[in-house]
Amino acid sequence: MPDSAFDNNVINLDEIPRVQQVPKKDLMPLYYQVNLAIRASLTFLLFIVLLVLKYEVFFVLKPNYHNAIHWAIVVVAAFGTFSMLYGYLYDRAIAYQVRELDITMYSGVFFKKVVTQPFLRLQHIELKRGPIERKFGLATIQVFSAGGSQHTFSLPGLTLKQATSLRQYILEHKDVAYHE
Amino acid sequence: MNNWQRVSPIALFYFVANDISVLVNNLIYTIPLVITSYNVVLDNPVWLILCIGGFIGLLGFSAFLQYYFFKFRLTEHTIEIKSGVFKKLHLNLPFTRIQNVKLIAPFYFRPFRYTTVELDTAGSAKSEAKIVALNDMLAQKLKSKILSQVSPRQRATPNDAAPSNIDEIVLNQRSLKDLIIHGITNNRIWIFFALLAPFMDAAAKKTNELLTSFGFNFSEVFSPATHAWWQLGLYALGVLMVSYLIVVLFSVFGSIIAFYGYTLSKQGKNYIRRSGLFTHHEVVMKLPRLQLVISQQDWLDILVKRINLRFEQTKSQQRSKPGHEVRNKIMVPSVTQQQFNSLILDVWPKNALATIEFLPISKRFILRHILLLTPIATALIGASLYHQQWQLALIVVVSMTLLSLLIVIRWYRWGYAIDNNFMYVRKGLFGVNYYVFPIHKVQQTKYHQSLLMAHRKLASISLVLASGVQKVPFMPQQTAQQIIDKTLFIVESTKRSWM
Repeated sequence: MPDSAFDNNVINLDEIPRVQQVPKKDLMPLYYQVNLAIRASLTFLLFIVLLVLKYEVFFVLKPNYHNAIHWAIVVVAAFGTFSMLYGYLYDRAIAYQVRELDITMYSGVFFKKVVTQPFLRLQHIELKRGPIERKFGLATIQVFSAGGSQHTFSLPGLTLKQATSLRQYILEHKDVAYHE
Repeated sequence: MNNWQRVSPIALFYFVANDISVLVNNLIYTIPLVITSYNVVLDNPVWLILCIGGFIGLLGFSAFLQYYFFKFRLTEHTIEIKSGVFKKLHLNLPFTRIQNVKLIAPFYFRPFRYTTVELDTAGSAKSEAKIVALNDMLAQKLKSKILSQVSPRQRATPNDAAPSNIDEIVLNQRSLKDLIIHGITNNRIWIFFALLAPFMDAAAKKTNELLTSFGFNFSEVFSPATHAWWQLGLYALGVLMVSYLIVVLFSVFGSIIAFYGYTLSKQGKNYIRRSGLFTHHEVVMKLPRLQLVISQQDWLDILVKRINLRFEQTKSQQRSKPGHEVRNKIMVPSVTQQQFNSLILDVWPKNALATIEFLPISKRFILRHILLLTPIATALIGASLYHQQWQLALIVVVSMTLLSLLIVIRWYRWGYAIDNNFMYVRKGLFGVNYYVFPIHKVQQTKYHQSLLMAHRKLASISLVLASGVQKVPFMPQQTAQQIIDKTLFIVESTKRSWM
């Protein structure tokens, strides 16, 4: 298409579709729970390790180290609580919406972010499932554009069924572009 | 051309040069060894000659093997290259996958009218193909064949193809004067040093010896015991100015080496850049591949009223090799405003950079960044006052004031504008850069807003292009949303390709 076909395209800003006025969809509650459980068990594990170090009798620690372990327990407790709390809020803040031609993801607790990826611009799409995700029937969808790897659009916390049907839908709509 | 063929034996030079440059890069570590065994070697001249002879023989043999195993084959739509002595490589590259065609003629090829063809692909950095030492004519033919290939999707509009029979129009040429200006205003010193790298250590040593022989001794001159502080200050200033002059001089050399004989021309929809004093580079860019045009001005550029124009394509393969960027991207060094305007209108006739009015970002940008500084500043000042270090406190106050001033300048420079086809961003500090890109080439949009910004109804946006991301912070929330909606609307409704 030559450039001249693009002339005088008056756009009325009031009439074009607005991204942020479409209702959002939350992730599966299971995702929040699983993440919370992971964070809790990691903190717990660290706790156990530290407690074992503190009360074990197999070898004698220097008093300095003993003191350090006290502090480490405090730090782990504080950091664990914070990460569980913030992580939960962060997960809850994630939401998405699929329009006919693009997908949008909302995220961020204090620093809100809205990322929109038009399907036309996607290079390829990946459905990712780690061992824990597989165990709970969850999936993550990743959409790659030519914008580079830092700008990969990654949406977690979908059920496998949601993810596969979303992928199907995106793939059906990705090649609607006609090329110059 | 359908059979496997070898390149011209001239390629031997290339392989030797390549081996040497690899060797020199690795040999730096053996320099101490060589220096310490210097005397031993001098005592046995026969051995030295034998060693050097053997070394040259080895180089030649290695080059011959590389040459012998380098074969290529052209078919209707692809190019195949076989190379490698121990590690065999068979590369199969369809013409339609090729992003960039570069013709690079090192100085040792030029008398024989040979050139190296480098083909860049859209994929990973590794899949770059080089055909060493092709006859000039053949290289040109290959180039136009590759460029005239259109992907199956694009066949519907045959006028986009650039048949080789369209004449080239010269758009811009740089004179020696322009290059000198460019060397002064932009630091191109590395081009010079990249060339000299193998001899750098020796040069530094020689310089020192030379200075000493003139009775100039660094440690003596800069010793506080022998001179008053103002003398030292003057010396330091003098040395600084002299070294600055030398840097500028080298930078001018660098600029001339890289851009000598610069021409930017146009053939149909292809833009061709040619330049180089020793090694002649020819880089071709297809217009649809262009993502972003940058007008770049450092403070010196502003003083002499010159602009560096940069055409940005996909950034998929940015290698960290110094010099790669300037030599291989299409950049027009130190053009005047008028030349800049005519060039940018040539690539994108509908852009309005010259006339569009930029909107400022919110003043809260200044407030926010200064607020970020305050805790550090207060802590530092508090600490230094507590310890009664008045001078230190003063230094902190002054530097914080300067930093705040920089933030204000940053805010002052930052601006944005949008029309129905293009988005324009202005930013900078001492210098000022303008970024222009067609909205339909946006890959992804991002809208950022902290809770505090939401309270003030402000937001930042990032528009991701294949050439990188363009961010505009602290604009009114409504404008930010409108720009994003408009961008998505243009991308999705016109459905135009981004390359």
